[in-house]
Amino acid sequence: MREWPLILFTLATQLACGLTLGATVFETKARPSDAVLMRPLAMAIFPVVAIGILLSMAHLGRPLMAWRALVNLGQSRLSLEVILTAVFALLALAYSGFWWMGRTEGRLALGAATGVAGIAAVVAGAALYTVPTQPAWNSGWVPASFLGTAVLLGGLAPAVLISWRENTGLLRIFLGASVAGSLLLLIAALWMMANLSRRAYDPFTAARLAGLLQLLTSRNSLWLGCYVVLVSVLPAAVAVRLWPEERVEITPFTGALLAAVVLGTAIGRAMMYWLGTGYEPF
Amino acid sequence: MAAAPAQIGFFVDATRCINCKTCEIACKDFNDAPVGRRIRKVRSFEGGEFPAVFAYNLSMSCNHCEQPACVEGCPAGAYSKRAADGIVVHDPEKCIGCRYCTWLCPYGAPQYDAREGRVRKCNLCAGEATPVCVAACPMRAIEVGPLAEIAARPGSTIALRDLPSPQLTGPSIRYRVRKEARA
Repeated sequence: MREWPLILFTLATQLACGLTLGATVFETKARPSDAVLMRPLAMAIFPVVAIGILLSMAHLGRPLMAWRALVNLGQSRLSLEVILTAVFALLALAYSGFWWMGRTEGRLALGAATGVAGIAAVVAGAALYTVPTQPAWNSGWVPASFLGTAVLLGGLAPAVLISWRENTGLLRIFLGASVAGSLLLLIAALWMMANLSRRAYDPFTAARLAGLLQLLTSRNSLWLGCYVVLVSVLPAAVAVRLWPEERVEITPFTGALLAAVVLGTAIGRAMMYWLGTGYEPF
Repeated sequence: MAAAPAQIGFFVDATRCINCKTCEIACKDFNDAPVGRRIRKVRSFEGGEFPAVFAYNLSMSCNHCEQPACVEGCPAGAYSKRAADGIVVHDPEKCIGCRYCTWLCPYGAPQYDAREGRVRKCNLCAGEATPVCVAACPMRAIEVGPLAEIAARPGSTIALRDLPSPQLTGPSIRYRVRKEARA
C-alpha cells in the first residue's frame, strides 16, 4: 500500500477537525472549572494536524519542492486543499496554544473559526477524489466518509479519554456524536456499494465498477466486514455501555477501544485508495 | 479550455497493429524510461462469444486531450496545453511527484518514475520532426497530424468499448478498428 502517507494524513486532519469541534462544544456546555478535562485533547489538535502534514510529504516524489503545490491555486483542487489545510493548521496552532496557556478570552470564537477551517479542509480533501475520471470515487460516499470520520473520532476520543466527573450531559453529547459519525460511515459504506453497482455511462466503466464490486464482496469481504464492525458496531456498543455512567475512568480498555476504532477507519481508508488507484485501461 | 485551432492528434490503425511493441520500445529509449514505466503502451483486447470472437491491439500514450484533466488538476502547474497545436506538455522540472495526474488521467498516460520522484509522459517528442513511435512502427499503424483531418478519414472513430468514454476529456486520437470494437 504505497498510499499510506495519504491514509495517515487524511485521518489526522479529520481527527484534528473532530477534536476542534469537540473542544468548542465542550467550551459552550461545560462548567469553567471543568476546562482541565478537555485541555490535553485540545492541546493535541495542532500536533495531530502538523504530524499529518509532515506525513503527507512522504507521498511526494520531491518533498523539497512541496511549496510548488500552491502554484495552480486558481484551478487545482489539490492546491486548494493544501492552502485550506495550511490555514487550518495555523488556526489550530493558535487554538492549541490558547488551551496550553489557559487563556479563555476569545477562545470560543477561535475554536469556532478553527472548526470551520477544519471542515473546509476536510471537504476540500474529499473533493480531490470526486472526479469523473475515477468512477469508484466519484460519488457522495467519499465526502460522507471523510466527515463521518471527523465526527466519529471527535466524539469518541473525548468520551473515552476523559475522566468524566458527574458531567453526564456532556458525556452523552460526545457519545451521541460518535454514534452519529458511525452511522454516517455506515451510510457511506452502503453508498459506496450502491455506487459500484450503478449503471455506468460507458461499457468500460461498467466493467470496471462491476469488477471492483465483485472483488470487494469476495476476496476483500473480510476487510469490509472488519471495517463495518470497528467503525459502526463498536462505537454503538461503547455508547450503550457508557450512556448510563455518572463517572468514566480512563483505563487501558477504553484506550484500546479508541485504538480499535482508529484502526477501523484506517482499514476503510486503505480500501478507498485500493478502489481508486490502478484505474486505467492500459 | 478552448480547443486549439490546429489541434494535433494520433491516428491508430488497430487493423494493422500486430502488437510487436516496437513503438513502445522506441518511446522508452527516447525518453530513457525505467523498467515498468510505459509512456507508450500496446495492449490486446478480446471480446465476443464463440464463434463470433475477435481481438485487436491498441497502441496508446498521452492523447493530448481537448479538456485535459491533468492541466487543470496539477497543483504545481507542471502541465500546459500549447495554444497553437494543442499538445499537452509536461515539464518534469516543475513536477513535485504528487501523482494526482495519474488519478485524473482516464488513460493512465502520466507514468510515475520513482527513481526520479516525478511523473513522465508523452510530449509528442517535442522538437522532433516525427514522433519516434510513428517513425518506428513497422506496420505504419500510428500516424500523427491535424485532428480535423484525422477525424474526417473514412472508418475513423473515437469511442471504443474497451476504453473510457471520450466525453470525459476529449482525447485527440482517432482509431480504425473492426466494428465489434466500437462502443
